[in-house]
Amino acid sequence: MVVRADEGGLPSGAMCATSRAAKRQLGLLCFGLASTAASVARAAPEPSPAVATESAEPSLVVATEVTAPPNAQPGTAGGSSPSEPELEVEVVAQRAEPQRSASTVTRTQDVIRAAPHRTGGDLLSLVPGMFITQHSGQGKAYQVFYRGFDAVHGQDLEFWVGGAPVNEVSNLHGQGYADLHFVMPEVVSRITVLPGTYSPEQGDFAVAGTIRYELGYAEPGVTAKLTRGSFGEQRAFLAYHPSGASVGTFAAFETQSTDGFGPARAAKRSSVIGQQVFRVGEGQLRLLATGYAARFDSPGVVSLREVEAQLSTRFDTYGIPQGGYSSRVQLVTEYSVSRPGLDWSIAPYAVSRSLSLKQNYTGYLLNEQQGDLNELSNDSRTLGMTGHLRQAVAWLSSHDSIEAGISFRNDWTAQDQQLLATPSERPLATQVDAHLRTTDAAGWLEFVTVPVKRLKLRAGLRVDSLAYLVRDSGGSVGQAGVGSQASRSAGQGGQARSSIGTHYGPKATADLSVAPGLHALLSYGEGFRSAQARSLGDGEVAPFTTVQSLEAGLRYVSGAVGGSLSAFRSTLNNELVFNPISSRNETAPASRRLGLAIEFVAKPNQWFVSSASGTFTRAQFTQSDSQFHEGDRLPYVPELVWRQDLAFTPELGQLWSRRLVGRFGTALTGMLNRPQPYGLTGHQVFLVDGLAELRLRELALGLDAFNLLDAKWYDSEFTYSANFHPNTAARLVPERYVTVGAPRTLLVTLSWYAN
Amino acid sequence: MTRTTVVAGAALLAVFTLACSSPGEDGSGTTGHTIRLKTRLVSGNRLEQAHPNALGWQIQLSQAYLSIGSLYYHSGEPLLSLRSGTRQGARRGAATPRPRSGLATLADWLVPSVHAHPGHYQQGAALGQMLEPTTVELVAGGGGLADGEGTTGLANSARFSWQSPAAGPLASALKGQVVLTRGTASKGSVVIHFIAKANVIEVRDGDGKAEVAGCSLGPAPGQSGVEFDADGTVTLTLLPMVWFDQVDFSYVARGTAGAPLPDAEGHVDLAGTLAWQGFIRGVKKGTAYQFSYQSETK
Amino acid sequence: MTVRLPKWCLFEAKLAFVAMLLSSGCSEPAHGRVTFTTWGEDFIEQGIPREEFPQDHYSVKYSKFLVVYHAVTISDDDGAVVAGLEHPLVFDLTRKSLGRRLTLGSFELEAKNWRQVSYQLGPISKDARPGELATDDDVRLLQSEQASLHVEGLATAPSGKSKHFSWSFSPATLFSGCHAPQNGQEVEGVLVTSGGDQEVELTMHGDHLFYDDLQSSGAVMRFAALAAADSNGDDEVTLEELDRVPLYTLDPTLGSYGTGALGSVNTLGDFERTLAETTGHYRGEGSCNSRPLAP
Repeated sequence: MVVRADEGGLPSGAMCATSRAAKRQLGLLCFGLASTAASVARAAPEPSPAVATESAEPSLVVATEVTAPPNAQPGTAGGSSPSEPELEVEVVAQRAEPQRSASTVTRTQDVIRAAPHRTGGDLLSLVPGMFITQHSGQGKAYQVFYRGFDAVHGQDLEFWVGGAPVNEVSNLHGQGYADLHFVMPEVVSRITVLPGTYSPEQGDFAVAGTIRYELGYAEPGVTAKLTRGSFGEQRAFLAYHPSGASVGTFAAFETQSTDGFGPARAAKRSSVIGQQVFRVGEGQLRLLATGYAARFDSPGVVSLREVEAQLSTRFDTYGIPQGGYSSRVQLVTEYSVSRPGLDWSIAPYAVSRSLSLKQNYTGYLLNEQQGDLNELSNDSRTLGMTGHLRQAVAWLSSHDSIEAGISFRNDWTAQDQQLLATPSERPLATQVDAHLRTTDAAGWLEFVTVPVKRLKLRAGLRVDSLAYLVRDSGGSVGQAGVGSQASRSAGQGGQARSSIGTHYGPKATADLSVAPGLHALLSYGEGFRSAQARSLGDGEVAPFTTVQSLEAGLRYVSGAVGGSLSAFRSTLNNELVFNPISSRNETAPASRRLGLAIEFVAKPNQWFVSSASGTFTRAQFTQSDSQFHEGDRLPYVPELVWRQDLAFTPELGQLWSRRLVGRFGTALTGMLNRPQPYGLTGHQVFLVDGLAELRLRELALGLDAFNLLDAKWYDSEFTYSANFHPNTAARLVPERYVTVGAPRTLLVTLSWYAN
Repeated sequence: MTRTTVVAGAALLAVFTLACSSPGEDGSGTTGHTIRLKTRLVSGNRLEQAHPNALGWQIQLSQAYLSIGSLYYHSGEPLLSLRSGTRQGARRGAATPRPRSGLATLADWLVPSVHAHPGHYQQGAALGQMLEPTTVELVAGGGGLADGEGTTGLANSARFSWQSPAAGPLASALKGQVVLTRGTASKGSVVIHFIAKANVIEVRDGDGKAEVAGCSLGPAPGQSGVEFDADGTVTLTLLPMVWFDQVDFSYVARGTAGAPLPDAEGHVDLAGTLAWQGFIRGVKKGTAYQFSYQSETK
Repeated sequence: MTVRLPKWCLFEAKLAFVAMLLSSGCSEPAHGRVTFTTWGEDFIEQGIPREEFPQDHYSVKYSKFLVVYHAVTISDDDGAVVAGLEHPLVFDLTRKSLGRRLTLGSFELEAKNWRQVSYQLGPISKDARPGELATDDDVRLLQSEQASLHVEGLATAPSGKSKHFSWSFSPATLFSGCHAPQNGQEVEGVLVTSGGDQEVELTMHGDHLFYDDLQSSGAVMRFAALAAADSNGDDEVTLEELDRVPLYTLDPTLGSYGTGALGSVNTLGDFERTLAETTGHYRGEGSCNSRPLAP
């Protein structure tokens, strides 16, 4: 079996697992600085449990992938047979993801596959402390709540997939809009979570943290899946992965459609991802291409008062046509070299994105005659590059190193928003018409030293320079179409304004090895979120939302168990709070988050994995303005989020000379104390998902169950003014509007594996 | 591993215990809270006695029916505090109004119809409402209004609306009107028994709405600015004499050219006369509808 | 592979790194300039053409539009005044400034968004001085009338018949919380840019004196009702004559003259005085909260 290094990194001292058996698809070997150069080795599988080991100073990590031989059954456990042939393992040293805070975690395929997931965005529910909702139809980016942040669609979380950024700069619907639907869950090999702002690699939008998806597909040969299920849902999935090639080399396609669990909830999407990893010279070259398009309907919100008074059902809509279209094309090229004492990479990328949304959160509140329906479109083209170099230096010890990196992205964005009449959808006014050019050029430097035994110190500085050019071609945000002269400004103007600003973000981490496997970490970092380009004045020194993060915690990695316990604090100099009336985030005063997080993963043997996490956060304003007061809790941000994933993958016996392997998993998701404006508290959420699959080598039959207990839950809750009944007295006092969570959904999947 | 699992489990339990304490135990909650607002209606004029108007007439009402629609309480200051508006055409190369940001933008979104004229009223956010229409008779002592609801915050102005067709047990007495009054006006030896009425079309404001926006709302009638801080009572003080303040009954006095003839009961209907125009202007004046709030905590 | 650096090099690197860290938080704030100007737009300088009066097709030409700017200030977010005029300044906005605005004053400020900009029209006081192109006579005229705003002009009917008007409005008006588009972006107050010179124009809207509704979005400019108030037929429409015209006596075909919720506007004179409180604007089409000040 050939084992090649994965192109991505790993948190040092975390889940660096040794390749053990032919049945395991992905194993990871950790080396210290003194490890050997990239090499091809031959590794004999050892039938022992998958465990995590830790290097003393894992500044450089070598990841290995173990490609199963033909006829092996990837994705299953059960240990290898002593009679199986020795595996060929190709090992390529690679750069590690250093442990910069106690709560930095990764989730690998064994945890990812524990519970059913529909999309790559779905996988965010695995991130400790994260709760996701989808309030405007399948296809719109998830709304993300994380560690006391309402990151909305990505404003406070930095997302990277396959080496390209996902956040969209100055997206008209929301700053940092991040749509992860283009990723199939099967091809996500690893999710790396960097809470806080402790890494100099973290840039714009890394306010609450950074999420990185690495892509890979380990099933050798061809995989074909057909899924049918509740509410007319259908899905076809096709993937192939050359036997013997790196897990990073694969291609995948999916198409999915659903009628939805109620009116105005139909959705369709198709996606293709192809990635190839080559050995070029002393390093490796990775090429990634993705293409994705989706169309989706949205039911909008429904009044909780009307639902509770049985004036409407939970799944009703107000009959206003809403929904959207989303597409993404992405190309990434990465060349990386890793050898002892030195590693470097350069990764240019290009992304093309389109988003169109038709939405009406307020009914006829603003325009009593023709309604408040608006349609926005946001088209962006992104070119960028990342790169880094890390090399060992003998400074205070032989384990010291210095790392430098660059990051650059340039976005061209065209955006407009139209007010439409209901129901004719005749354009009434242009509310936004703008072209943006935004540039973020960053460089960073980090020193790592081990001044005394068992203490590792990191200190770094990241400098981001952001420049904006905005051509605003007109538009009136006000109530165009009502007053006779209100729409006069539509389409007029055409003024350009430019702005530039620089952010300095110092970072520092102290990592004390308390006992074997047990580390105490203290981390500090400053990060930022860029301003919406259209909010900047000409010549203005571009302001930033700045965050200061502090975390102290313990991290334990040993044997079959890894986990962390941490306390964290984040302070922001200003907030953005979603306002349904303007369909965007509005500025709010400074805030602070205090929290406690715990997470662990246990893999006691080959056929069982358990991961669990719980995060409690108290998020409060620390300043006042006309709307929010010091000490108030931030609206909509849940205080407690927990998640547990359990997976059993037992070998059940033999049938027709083939091993019968089962896969059974559950996921429990809970969310408590979601504060609403005006002292109200939202509904709690407790969901159970489950899966069961039987695989007989080439064939597998699986059942995925979402919301197994059929909980009557509300995906999103907002408190605001709206009027969905234009011929009656408007209810202007803010009240609760909800989007309904999906009921129990069952999906049956027939899979065929040809290799 | 067992020990580690136990420790991790205990820590997880601690997190849960901490989190499951009821929200806001430390006294902090999200901004504001919802409140119940009882609604009370009183007459600001002692209608059992005659009142002089600005033109020297003594007016004694015998009936005053009023159709009341929704009442809204807003954060915006009443019309007396003007916010200058915008208009077009005055300025060569003038900048085109652009989208605003932040809360100012939000205020714009919340204000439906105030863009292109001088002196508009910015109603701001809605802090309370009473949505149950009814009909009252003021001389007999008014009547009850349904409870309303609201949120805490600084309220400055209110919006009164007429309901058409009228609702409530007394609706039929209005005979399709939204305001119907009968009374006597006297000046010296001239005594006029009159009927003054208005239908929903006649009371519409410049934007075509049957409402009076920008009325005062404060701790007492005629004042502006009061903190809605708890459940309380909003009192609508009606001053029907404001309706008649600019009514010159000489236009309907017997013997005056064009004066209408009295009906069988001897009442003169002001409709169509300059006296009626004065009445209609009075009915539309915000000073006839004064709102005040009293917190139950005080 | 381990790269060994000489010790002096490491020391230099450490120094540079520390210096870089320190420099990120120790830079001096940048400054820029704000210059207050005023303009009455073409409506005041050149006149209001008849197309702007869609119903009665009058046209208006101002011959004098005197304003006194008082307490023009920029404040920080706590309300502390950081820049302001020393004396009230009088301007006649009908005087053309040959392509540039009339200047009130200029201030050096930290480069940032100063959100609180306000100014007063009036009251006229003894220390008032003539501004650019204004004369001592202009100041004395306002002082003698105790006026904050004084307008004179000629309104001409389609028939060619003209009415002259000369009105003095006394109560001072505070315009606060001013905001306006700046380079296409709505800005609260003024955005001072580093090394830049921001012109903040206090704009007077001369057309506001002729609108026919105080609250409605459908208000239009008219003059016929004002012309009809010339009770003595001398072709001079005075405020006193307007005071003698109750609004209820107006022929509805001459305009609604709706007063919104206002309770104290009963005559055309009251109506004009209320309109006068709305003439002050900010940077063209920008606006402020306006509030009449007690005498």
